[in-house]
Amino acid sequence: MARFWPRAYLIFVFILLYAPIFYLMFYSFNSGGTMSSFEGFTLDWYKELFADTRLLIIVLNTVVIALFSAAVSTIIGVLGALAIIYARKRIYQNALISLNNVLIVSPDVIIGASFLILFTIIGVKLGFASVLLAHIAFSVPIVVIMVLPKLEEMSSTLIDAARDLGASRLDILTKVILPYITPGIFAGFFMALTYSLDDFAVTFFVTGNGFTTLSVEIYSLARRGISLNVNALSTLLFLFTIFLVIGYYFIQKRNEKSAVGVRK
Amino acid sequence: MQANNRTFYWIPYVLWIALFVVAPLLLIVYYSFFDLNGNFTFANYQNFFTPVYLTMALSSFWYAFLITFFCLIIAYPAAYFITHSKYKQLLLLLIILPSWVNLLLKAYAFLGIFSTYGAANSLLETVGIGARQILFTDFSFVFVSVYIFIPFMILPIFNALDKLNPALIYASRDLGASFWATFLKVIFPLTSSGVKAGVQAVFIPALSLFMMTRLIAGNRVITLGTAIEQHFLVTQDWGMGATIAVFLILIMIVMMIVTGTRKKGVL
Amino acid sequence: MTRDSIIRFDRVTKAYGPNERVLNEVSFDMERGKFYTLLGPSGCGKTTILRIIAGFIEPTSGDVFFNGERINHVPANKRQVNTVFQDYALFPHLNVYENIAFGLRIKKMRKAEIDAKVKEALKFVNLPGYESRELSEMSGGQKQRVAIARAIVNEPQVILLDEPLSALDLKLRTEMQYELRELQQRLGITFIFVTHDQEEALAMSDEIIVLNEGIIQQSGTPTDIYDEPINRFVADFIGESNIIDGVMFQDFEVEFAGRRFECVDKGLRPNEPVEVIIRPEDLAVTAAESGKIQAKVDSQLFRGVHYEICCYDADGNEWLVHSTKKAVVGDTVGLDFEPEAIHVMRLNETQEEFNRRLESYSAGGGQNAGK
Repeated sequence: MARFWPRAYLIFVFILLYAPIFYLMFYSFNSGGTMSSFEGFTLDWYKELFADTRLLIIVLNTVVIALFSAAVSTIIGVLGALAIIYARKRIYQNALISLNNVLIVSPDVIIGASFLILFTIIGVKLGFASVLLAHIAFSVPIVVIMVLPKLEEMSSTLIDAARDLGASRLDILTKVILPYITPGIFAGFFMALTYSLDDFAVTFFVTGNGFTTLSVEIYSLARRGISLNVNALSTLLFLFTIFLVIGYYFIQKRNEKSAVGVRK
Repeated sequence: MQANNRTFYWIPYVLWIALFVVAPLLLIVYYSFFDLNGNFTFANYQNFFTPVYLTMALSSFWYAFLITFFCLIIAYPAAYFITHSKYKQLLLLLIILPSWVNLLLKAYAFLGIFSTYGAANSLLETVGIGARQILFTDFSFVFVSVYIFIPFMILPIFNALDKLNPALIYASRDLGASFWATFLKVIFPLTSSGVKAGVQAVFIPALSLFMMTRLIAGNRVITLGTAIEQHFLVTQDWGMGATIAVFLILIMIVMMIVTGTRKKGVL
Repeated sequence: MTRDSIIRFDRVTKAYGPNERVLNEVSFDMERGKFYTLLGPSGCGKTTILRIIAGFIEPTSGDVFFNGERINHVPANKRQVNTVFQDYALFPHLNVYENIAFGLRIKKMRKAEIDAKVKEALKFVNLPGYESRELSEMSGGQKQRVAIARAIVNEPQVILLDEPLSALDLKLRTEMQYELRELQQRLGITFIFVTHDQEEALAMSDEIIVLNEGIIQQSGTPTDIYDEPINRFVADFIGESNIIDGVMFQDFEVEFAGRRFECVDKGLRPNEPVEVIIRPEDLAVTAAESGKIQAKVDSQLFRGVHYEICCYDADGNEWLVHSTKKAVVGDTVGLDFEPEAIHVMRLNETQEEFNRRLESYSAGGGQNAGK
């Protein structure tokens, strides 16, 4: 009995969490056209999806934005983490970390609204450029957060040891620091990728009329009511998400392994 | 010699901070002092303290509170049971997975489930309560928001519970405390940091989720987020939108102070 | 410089603030091919000296010479010195081979040459065939050897060892002491070893430099320092000792514990106040009436090779005795010792004065144990 209630409760929570997702996926095979009565099995919605060139272009846009913004924000984020670690004084470090975290704790609406003002003022045309810049901007602090602990955990004697063995400053960066924090860099890149793929609110604010990402498109489709090709789309996205999560956990595993290696 | 070499690291990151952290915040504050025609004014702040905006702010607060409360009620036991499970890493992964599914798709699912002939009403029919309007009510807004935020509440609580030294619980039991006494006097106080982090992760977004009110609550609920979106993207009254944003930022700062040292938790 | 000097410190001071002197005008001269130990409690400045030699930090004032050349501003990566770190500082993202090859690759050495050198270095530290191991698969002792191999493979003129054995358990530590000493003799290069463990220092070194609060207290061979400590700090830090205040009555006669005893020290002012040291192993327990001092046994611990007996004389002085024979707690016993066992320390004596005094004994009487 002592085991029954916890188990029952967890099963209840998991049903609550997964039922809507499977409900969505289930009806993507419904020939009936609604999300309430299942009439028969069909793959028509998927066919429609793949025939919709407009949607495919939106998917492409989304992926390009995600990859591009993740790559750029990873570079800036790694430099940022190095800047924080090498800040001369503790006060500078804390100030940088606080500024870094502002965008992480800010609600999306605030980020979106303030970026909209910013882009309008400096004259960035709302569209691909503004969305890309916004995604880079909100991904940078995430990369920093993922890389910084690796840098902090790195013993300073490792750098002394490298210098002792004749390494120049560039050697130390490329042969010691970067290889050491590689798991953190990968984790940061993946997080940036998923944040970009997932983002709706910020994109919604800073995108113009001509340019749309998948999240914004889903929103406008959903506001028009139920259409089962959205269900088909979400099934595919869910599978893609699982694929990403497995990738991410693979990296985390490697992360842990190398962390154990450092411990005495 | 070393300082010169290091300057190069700083440039992109400091530029990023200046352009995308400091400048946007300043611009929000700056814009809150201008009216629709671009004249300097305090009218936006005066407007905010009229009953229309105050009730909106209060109701936004109330809903955010409800959402956070129900999340906590559901999440704490779940996190507790997961830490005591043999398969805790797998279960944790299963909790996190839905949070990676696009939020709009989850909301969209409820458009089907809560629709007039959807699964929820079929269930109510079979139980004998009878079908009713669920979608576009404040109930559906709170329910869907709780659904979306549960993983974000479970995760920090799980982390806090997982770090708890089990010997402390044995010690408490050994000293004669019952399960409930142990929970109230040992477990809960020691995991309050996780609860605080969870509350922070839920409450602020709950104040600002505008797409949820649009999709699920059918404009029956207006949060601070909805109002900001409305002013920026629909009525184009950036000044008023910025004013509400300033208040949201202030609330956020207060929340961060109340719920303590988030920085330590993050790093 | 008459000797073959490799590292020389000339009044080196390191300060982190106006009142925070970690090293205070430290001077010494180290010879090529010897095993040196910097010994002292934590915070005494021994690691600072090591970091200055390695080039990780620069002295605030004073000069550092390497092979007669001033190297104050030579960066660490340009020095012919390699360090074995306390936490080993092995690169966790590289395997054993790549860790050892790190320095050689920086020098852009040819692949075949690197290969041969890494293999040879691993053989030197008794780890042949471990090239492709990951660090996570290695024990603490093995990591220690890899760290040593990584240092010696670069053929430095000096190897610095920063408390390298402190993370190992007692048995392994003793084993590594033998190995390090042997390694140093085989390589014939200078080892500078930092430790706070006096036994380690005594066992391994050609010469020990004892430091406290940024000042060199005494330097000399292990037997010098053990038998003839210059002051209370050194006597206390190196081994256990009984230290009692006394008065030098005249040459060869010292007064302490209420009596006068024959000793081998001379050249002090008559009635000069001194501190007297007798090592616990130089005291023998006898019947009460046949001892030079009578004391009451207060407690006794069995230490394996000997009994550690704690007794108090009539004046309340504590006497620690290492004896192979058991005593009975509560009994009054006699303590006997040879005149040579008494070591007299003048207050505030500098190392030069101290050395001059010791030399005068061997020139005059030739009866002192020290060199």
